[in-house]
Amino acid sequence: MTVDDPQFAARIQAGEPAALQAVVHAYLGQILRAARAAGLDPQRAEDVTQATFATFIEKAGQFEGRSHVRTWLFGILYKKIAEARRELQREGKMDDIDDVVEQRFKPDGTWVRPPEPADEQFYRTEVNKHIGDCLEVVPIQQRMAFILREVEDLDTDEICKILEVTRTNIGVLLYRARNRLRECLETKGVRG
Amino acid sequence: MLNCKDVTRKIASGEFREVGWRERLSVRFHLLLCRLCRRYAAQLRAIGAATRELCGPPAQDPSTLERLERQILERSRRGAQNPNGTSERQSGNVDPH
Repeated sequence: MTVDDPQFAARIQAGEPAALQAVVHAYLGQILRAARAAGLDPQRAEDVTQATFATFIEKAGQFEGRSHVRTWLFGILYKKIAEARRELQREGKMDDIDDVVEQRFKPDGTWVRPPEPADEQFYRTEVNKHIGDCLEVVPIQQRMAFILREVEDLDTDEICKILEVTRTNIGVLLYRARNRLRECLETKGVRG
Repeated sequence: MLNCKDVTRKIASGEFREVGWRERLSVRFHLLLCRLCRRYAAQLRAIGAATRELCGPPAQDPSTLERLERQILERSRRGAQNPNGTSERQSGNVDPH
């Protein structure tokens, strides 16, 4: 039996120590990676990971197995990250990415400021250099949606449950995250 | 007919993955003809790939993972012995759906 089997939910709900430990063991690496990917420094990422599993264990009695245990863990993690980042949030307003994108098109929807051209291989190398910096400018909810899709490879329904938003919202979050990253990279002179 | 703005929106939002075959075909058709949207799509793919590379596989450092696992389990045992005592403020969501 794996931690994702439906029968396992009952053991989690009962707070069976072996079951809880199995969940910790199965997902620790993934949760820690996501905490780091969300922009926390290594120490904070560890703290938030610990706090996530502490909450999971504490609230295990409420787990009904109607969603994947992973979904539940990521949902707890997301709330912890949002709390942790609020303390760290920098001052200063960002450009509204929707307006930035809007200005790239003519009224008829064709490009007026198209993506800058360059060699595809060169673009990839340059993106690798700057992606870390550019992820830092992406607001946390957009960043989480992007990470859960691109890194964790979760489907839209699961991301909706984790971030507690609608399917339409996920589309908006991904659209803004990706455009914000692309614009940031282009500003850094990364041209593809 | 979809224009460039429509096509880039469908690609960036991920809507493209979920629409029916007819609409997906019209996005593909647009990309076939439009060099600029192809470039945009290739850039988004490169950005996704770079993010995956940056994040790497799930954390694997055995000493970190073992230590964290031990700390989590110890903390939960302490919490269970002393439910009203040292347990700190927790915020977590309940099982969604």
